[in-house]
Amino acid sequence: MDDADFTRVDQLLFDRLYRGALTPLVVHLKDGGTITGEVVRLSRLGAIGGRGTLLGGELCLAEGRDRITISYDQISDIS
Amino acid sequence: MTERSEPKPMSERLRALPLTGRDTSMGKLLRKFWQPVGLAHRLPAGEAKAVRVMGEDLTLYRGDSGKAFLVGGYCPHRLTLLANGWVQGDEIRCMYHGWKFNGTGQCTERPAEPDRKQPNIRVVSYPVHEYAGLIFAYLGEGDAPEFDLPRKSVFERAGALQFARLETWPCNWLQQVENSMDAVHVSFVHHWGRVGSFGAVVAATVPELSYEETEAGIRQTAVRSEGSKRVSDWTFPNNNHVSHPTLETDDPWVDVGVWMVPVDDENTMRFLIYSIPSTTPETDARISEYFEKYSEYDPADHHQELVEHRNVPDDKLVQLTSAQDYVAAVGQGRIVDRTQERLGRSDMGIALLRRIYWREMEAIELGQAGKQWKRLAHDAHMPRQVNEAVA
Repeated sequence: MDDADFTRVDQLLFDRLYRGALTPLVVHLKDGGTITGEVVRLSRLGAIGGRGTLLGGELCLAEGRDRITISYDQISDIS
Repeated sequence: MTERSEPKPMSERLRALPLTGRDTSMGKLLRKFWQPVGLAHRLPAGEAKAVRVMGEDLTLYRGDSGKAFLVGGYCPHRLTLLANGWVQGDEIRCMYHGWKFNGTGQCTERPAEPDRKQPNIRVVSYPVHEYAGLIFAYLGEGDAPEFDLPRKSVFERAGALQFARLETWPCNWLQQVENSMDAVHVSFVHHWGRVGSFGAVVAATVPELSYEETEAGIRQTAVRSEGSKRVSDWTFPNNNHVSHPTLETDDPWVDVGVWMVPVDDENTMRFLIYSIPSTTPETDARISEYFEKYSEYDPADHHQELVEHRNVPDDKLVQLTSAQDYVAAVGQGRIVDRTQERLGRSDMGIALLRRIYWREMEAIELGQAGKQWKRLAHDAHMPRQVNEAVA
C-alpha cells in the first residue's frame, strides 16, 4: 500500500473513531460495497514511528455477532 | 428505547471523561464495577480506617470476626469521623457520643438518648469482597454484580508469591489509565532517569501497536522487533494487567495487576498486585526479601526529589518503574485539559479507549444496559520479550 493511501485511510479511521458520532462506522469499499459496524480489532504496520518497508492495516468490524475483517487497501472512505 | 441524541461537542465529551462524582456519567459507570478500596494486610481485625473513594468519605473497618465492612465516613449525630471510633464485635462505635453502627450501616445504639427505641438512623454501607490481598467494594446502585470480572487466574496460582501495594498519586485517575493504553510511553518513560528491569526488555524504539476489544476490556499488543512482543490485558473500566521481568534474567516473570481508583477527581489510589510463580526456595526467598525491602514506596512521598531534581530511586524495579510513570502522569497536572491536546495517529489506543468510555457513558445517560463485560474465558497470552528469549 502506498504511503499516501495508507495515511489517508488511517487518518479517516482515527478521525471517525475519535471525533465522530458514537454510531457504528460505515466503511465504504473500493468495490462499491459498504460495511457497517464497530471496530473491535485493529492492527497496522507502519502507522507510527519509523516507517518500515511495509505499510498496511486491518480492521475487524462487528455488528451484533457478525465479524468482518477488511484491509486498509479495500477501503475508499469511512463515514 | 431512547434513541441516541446528536453527538455532544468534543470539548464537552472530553471534559466529562475524568469526572467521577456520584451524579456524573463516568461516576455512575465506575460505580457499576467492584473497585479496590483497601489493602487487606493493612486492616487487622478490630481496626478502622477513613477512606475516600470517588469523592465519598467512608469508613473501612474489620470486625472482630475478621470480616471487613465499608460504611459511611461520618457519624450522622455530630458528623465526626467514624473511623476514629472503636470496633466492637462486627460493629463500630463513634468516639464522640458512643453511637454504634452495624455493618449494614444501621445505628444500633445511642447511649445518651433516653429513648431506647432506635429510630431508623443509618449511614451508607457497601458490599465488600476480599481478593488477592485487596479489599474490593461495590459502590453502585442495586445488587452488586458477581465478583468475577476482577479475577485473573494468575492471581489465584497455588503457592505463588504475591504482594499487594498501594500508592496514592496527586492526579486524576484517567491520566493513569490512559498511560496504560499508550504503549509508546514505555519506550521513553521507562528510559527516563535510569533504565531498570522493565525498561531493559523494552528497546527505546517505537512499537507497532494493535488493539482488540475483548469481552473484558482491551488487549493491546506492542511489537518492537521480532523478539519483542508485549501484550497488556486491560480490563474495563480501570484495571491493567502486564507482565515483566522480576529481578534477574532467569527469574520467573511477575504478573502485575493495577487498579486506578479515584480518591476524588484530583487524587488516585493505585492498588497493585504482584504475583510471581514459586520456583526454588532460594529464588523465592530472594524475591520475598526484595518486596519486603522495596515495596513500601510511594513516589508521591518523593515528589520534589523526582520532579525537581530528577533523583530516581536506587531500586531498579518496583520503585523505579513507579517513579517514572508518576513523573509522566503527575506532570500533566491534577486534571489534564484534554481540549488542549494534539493527538496523532499513534494515539489510536487512546482514541479507542475514549470511544468505549463515551459509548458506555452514553448508554447510562440513555438508560440502556451497556456492554456486559465478562472475565475472559481464557487468559490472555502474555509473551515474554527479548530477555526471556536470551535466558
